Amino acid sequence: MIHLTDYIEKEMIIILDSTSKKEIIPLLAEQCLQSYDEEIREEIIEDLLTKTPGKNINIGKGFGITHTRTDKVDDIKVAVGIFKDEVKLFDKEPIHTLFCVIIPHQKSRIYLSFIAHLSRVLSSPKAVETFKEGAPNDIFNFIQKAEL
Amino acid sequence: MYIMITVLKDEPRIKKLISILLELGLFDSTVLDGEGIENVAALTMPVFSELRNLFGEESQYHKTVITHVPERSTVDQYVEICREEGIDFKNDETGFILVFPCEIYIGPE
Repeated sequence: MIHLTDYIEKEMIIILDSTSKKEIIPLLAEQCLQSYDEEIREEIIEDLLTKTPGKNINIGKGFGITHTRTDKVDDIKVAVGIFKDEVKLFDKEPIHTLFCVIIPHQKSRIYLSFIAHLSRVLSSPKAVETFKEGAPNDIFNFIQKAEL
Repeated sequence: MYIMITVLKDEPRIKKLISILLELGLFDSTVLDGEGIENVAALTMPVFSELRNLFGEESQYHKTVITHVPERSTVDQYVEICREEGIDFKNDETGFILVFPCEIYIGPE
């Protein structure tokens, strides 16, 4: 079974100061794409900011996902943004946590497993509480423990 | 390799079951619509239709999932996660799972 911690690194969990989509998404995407050229980073950020149905998902309990598929990265890249307060980033309910995910085309199936596993971990008791408290260390430990 | 057949009588839980299959990477799963034998009997055979009220009001529609599973341990994981998520196949109304070795497999490796 897929392990979330193979994709979510502790350093990729960030406390967000802004509540503006135009600031948050580039910030999270930049975290994911540190080792890539500026041209690739800009292209992916532009794509993430484009309004396309299904690009932003509110998965409930205050967790949101923004994602895009590309052939410019070699593996699934994930950054996790934690808001200090809940924010109405998408059209529906407010969120406290945003997962920014960049998926290579050839890893679409692995991404399905990732989302299925993430959804189950996030629906477990204490998930909302842990993420809302916003300590990256605790969040990472929570994910790690949930996978044991 | 094993063939795993899941008959889910508790039809509303199919979304959760699908999510578990995806989580385990069992992508080559096929989901079929099915019907309980009592329902078919009641709908198609007059002698049984009179007895339909005996079957109760619960759903008589099932989902059947056919999957090929590479490892026996994946079956154990599947059953365990299902149980944790409230799909307990030990319950009468949930359904059942059949697992048996696959002698011949022809398809993508």
